[in-house]
Amino acid sequence: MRKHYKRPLAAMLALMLLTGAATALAEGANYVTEEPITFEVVMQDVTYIGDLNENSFGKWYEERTNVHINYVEVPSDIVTERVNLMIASDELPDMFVGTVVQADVNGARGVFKSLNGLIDELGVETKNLFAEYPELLPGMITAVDGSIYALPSINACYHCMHSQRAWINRDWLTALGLEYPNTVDEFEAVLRAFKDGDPNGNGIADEVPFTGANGSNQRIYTFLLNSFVPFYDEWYHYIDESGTLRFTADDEAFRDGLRWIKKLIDEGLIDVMGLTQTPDQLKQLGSDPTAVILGGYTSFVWWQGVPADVDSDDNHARQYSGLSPLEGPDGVRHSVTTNTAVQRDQAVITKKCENPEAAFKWLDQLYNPEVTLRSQVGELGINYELPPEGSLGINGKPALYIQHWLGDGETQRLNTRMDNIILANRSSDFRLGEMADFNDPETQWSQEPRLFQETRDYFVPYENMAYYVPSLAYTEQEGADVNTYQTQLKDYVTESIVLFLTGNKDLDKDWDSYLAQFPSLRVDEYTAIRQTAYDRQYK
Amino acid sequence: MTLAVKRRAGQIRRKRIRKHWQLYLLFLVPLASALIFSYGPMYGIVIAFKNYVVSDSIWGSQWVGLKHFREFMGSYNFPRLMKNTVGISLYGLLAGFPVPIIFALLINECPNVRFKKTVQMITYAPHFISTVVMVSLIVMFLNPRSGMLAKALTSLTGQRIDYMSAPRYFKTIYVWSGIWQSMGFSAVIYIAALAGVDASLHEAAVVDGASKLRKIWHVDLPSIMPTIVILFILSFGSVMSVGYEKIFLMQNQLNMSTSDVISTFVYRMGLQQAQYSFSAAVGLFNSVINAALLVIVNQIARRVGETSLW
Amino acid sequence: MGVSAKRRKPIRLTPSDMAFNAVMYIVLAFVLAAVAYPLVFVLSASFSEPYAVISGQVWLYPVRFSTVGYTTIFKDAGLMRSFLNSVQVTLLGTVVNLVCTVMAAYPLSVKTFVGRGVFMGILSFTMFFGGGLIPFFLLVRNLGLYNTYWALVLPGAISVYNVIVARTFFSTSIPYELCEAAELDGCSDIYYLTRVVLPLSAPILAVLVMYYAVGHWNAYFNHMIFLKDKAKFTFQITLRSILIQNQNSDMMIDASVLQRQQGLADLLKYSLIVVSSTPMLLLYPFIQKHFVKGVMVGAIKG
Repeated sequence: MRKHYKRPLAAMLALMLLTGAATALAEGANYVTEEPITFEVVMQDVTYIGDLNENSFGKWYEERTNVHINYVEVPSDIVTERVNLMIASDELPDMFVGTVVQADVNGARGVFKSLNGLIDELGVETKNLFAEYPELLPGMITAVDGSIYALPSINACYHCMHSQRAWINRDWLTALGLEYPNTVDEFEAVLRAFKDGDPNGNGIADEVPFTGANGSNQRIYTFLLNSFVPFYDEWYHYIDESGTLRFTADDEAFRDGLRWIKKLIDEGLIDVMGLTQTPDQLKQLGSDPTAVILGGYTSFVWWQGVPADVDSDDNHARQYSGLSPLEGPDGVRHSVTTNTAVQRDQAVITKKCENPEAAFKWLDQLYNPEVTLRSQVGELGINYELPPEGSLGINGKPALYIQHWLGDGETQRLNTRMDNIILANRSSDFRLGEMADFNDPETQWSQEPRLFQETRDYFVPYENMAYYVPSLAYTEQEGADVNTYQTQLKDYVTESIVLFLTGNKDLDKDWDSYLAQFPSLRVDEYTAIRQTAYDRQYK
Repeated sequence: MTLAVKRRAGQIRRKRIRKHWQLYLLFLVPLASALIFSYGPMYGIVIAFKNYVVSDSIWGSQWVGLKHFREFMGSYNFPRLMKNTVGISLYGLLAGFPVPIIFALLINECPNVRFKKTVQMITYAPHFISTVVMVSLIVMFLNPRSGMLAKALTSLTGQRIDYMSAPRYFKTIYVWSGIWQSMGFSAVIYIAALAGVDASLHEAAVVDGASKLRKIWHVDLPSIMPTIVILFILSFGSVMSVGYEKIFLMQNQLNMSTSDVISTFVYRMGLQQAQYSFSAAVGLFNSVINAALLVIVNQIARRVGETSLW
Repeated sequence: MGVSAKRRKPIRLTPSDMAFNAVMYIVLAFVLAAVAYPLVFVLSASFSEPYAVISGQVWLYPVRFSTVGYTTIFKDAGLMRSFLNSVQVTLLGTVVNLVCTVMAAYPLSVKTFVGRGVFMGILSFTMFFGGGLIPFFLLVRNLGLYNTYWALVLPGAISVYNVIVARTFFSTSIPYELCEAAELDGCSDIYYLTRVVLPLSAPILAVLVMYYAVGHWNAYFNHMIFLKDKAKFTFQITLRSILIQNQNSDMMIDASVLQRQQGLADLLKYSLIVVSSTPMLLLYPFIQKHFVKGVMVGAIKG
């Protein structure tokens, strides 16, 4: 804060902000209530955001809405446990935001309030949202009983829709005179060249041609299997042409894919450690300061495998670009596409709340573009600047802001925004409204522009949304069963795949005994419940 | 017993109670604490026999008898949970129990006082490390690329293995990291007991020309046997109750087939999935077996070793 | 002591004894190295530049000496606050535990205390059966303890195991004659306990302090469940969220967020481990002398 007033410009901006707030105050247009009111809200406690009760966005929003919030912070890794206990013991706040557990079940039991009436009556921004995403809302957030218990968050993140991505070392391709691989066979040849051709030129065979990690969106096989069958990890379902859910973890094409991956592992073309290592370990491997040793890796974003700093001496981060899904022997080539724009169950009002109208209005306004900018990007002059007249954003439309990237711990210390833990409407225009001057060659290396370009060029061409099973609404019994079955299944399949690929199980000899477990894991019931829910909601 | 004797016994008792009224006063505090905090919530056991959902009260929810128990025993998880729970604890007991004893016997024989003190000081230290830190240390050292232990094992075996993700190493890692952490501290008790061994017995052994090994076997070990037995019973009583914290933190998706134990399962089902009745049933099942085991072992020890807990 | 007297006597070693000694030294040296190495490594890593650690350059000595981890911790108000909170909980908890345990164990050690069998049974039963977390949570809440440190301290006021140990100490180590003498003087039980028994009980008190303090310092589960205000969070909670990151990089977690989270963990990991483990390590030497004695008496006769 003090830093803020050192520079005259910053002081001026602050003045602008203050007058802005003053106008809002004078008009009272955004006031949720005339009388100041206090709510208790349970939110996530994450290490990258400071104390929420001190957060400057929180204070800013309080001035705007006349609502004071007592933030109760729950460590992000035990949200489910804590919230379940609060519900079971009736120790409820007024709202849960970003910490909602079993919205439909608890809603049907009366723990959370039904919001339909409030939306109809008071929902200004929520209705805008419904108009913005007519094919998703309100259908996607409506429970089986027809009620809406929880509000969604919008994160129309262009690049996030392609969650299973891989990265390949372009410098190595150039150094060895190789073409960018498009098929599984070409890919195999590239890896072989990476392994034998000493592409980093240090005279040592220290190259790791291809690897990954055991973390969601970082699994090697999830990326590669999509050259054989549309493979959605952990759920193992895709929708075929007839609208039927197909289970993939017992499929012959799935086995063929594993066979091919196993072969590459046996030949040392895929790093066997990549199946099991933690994301941290992958990053460590790619951060070797003495030499660049990664040929390619599976990760959501490139810096999960290499140092994030594009200006580092060793130039790691600039060597990689996206690796498109490869075309398999039967022509399958699928980039795992999920619809992440609407995130269900992000905010609820509990039965304890005595003024649900005010609470709802408070939530509703969080979708407002100005509020979203403030909660997601931060404070003018600290986190962002206004772009000069005529500059363009990543999407080619007029730019909305110039973001300042702040170092580790710095965002937490400044504590000016609430990021993804609060409700927001991060529309596509908002996300891609960051100023990007593509005439400047450096722009392509900055975070959002780069992710945008890589995704557009390497993954979007292989998009097929039809395969994707959207998020489903279940009845209470269905929900409990699917949960149990999916957890067991996920553990079993994930572990088995690794055992097959590391050679602890044989894809021929042990395949039948692998399949034999599925009945006791209730795979048929699992698929049937999901099919029923899908048909009910989307057919 | 005749009436007169009975009456006299009663009189003595009354007199003693009157005389020790202050002791009752003292004991009232811990007793109240146990009644309130341990017995108070025990009514919750009934939800194991009910279908408890949060909108009903515990008493108001519907009775279902042994349904949850049957469901648990018939589930996909049951065999492996049993196998893992018993497996991990037995392994822990068989490997972890003798090590501190052997360590104490060796320390006791060490004539170099300074060396002995150093070894003791250093080996206590890990005891004070918290579970959270301990697990992150394990993960760090077994990191197949940078972990010092994993690197050493790779150069010994020629194989590079990600130990944390390999189901078959889970038990070993769990048990031996436990030994690493507690060996020095557990040995304190034995070292203390050994220091109390009658010196004349040792001198007699020396006069007889007994070797050190024989002296340990015939003098030291028998002298600390009561301590060993008591501690053994105590550890055996907890065979079914593998502490969940450390396992829970060490678990990952790839080692679940050997790392999932009853306590972690109860935690997942109860707190994470909110299936309170089911998880209460599993927990109760575990407690009953545990208590039964302790009673049995205590009986055996009483007959065989003439030592017992109570 | 008899033991040291015996050691000083020059004894001619037989070949088998010499072999034994050799094996003993080798084993002990190995144990020493195996236990000490990880500790040294962590210490060195905590004083190295984070990047040097990530890339595996540190193996024994600090590489590119740096105290950035520590300065970050000490500058971070949240971390320091949680550290002080932990100190507070540990002190409070240990005192409550100590008092309650003595109040339970001493009466149980008096042979003429009628009903000791029953009382012991009542306590022992709680070692095996509990009502489960939901009723427990409800109870704590209804007593108004939710979100207070009392919720972490009162429910576990006595550990039955420690009561057994302390009871054994009292019944075996306090000479019975003292008791008889005191009774003849007509002194009360409480007077006798505070003026005679406790001054003689330093060893067992040391044991109890040790067990309880370490327990409180390292506990995190109840802390996570019962503390609501972030201002009351204890060190282990903070530690846990930094050290044991769960990898749910679902779509919610945005790219830049992921990066920041990782950076913070890399930076603080080792220094946090050192800072969290030091207080208990420092405590031990102070009570070590008594502790060894206490453990012995407490355990030998169960």
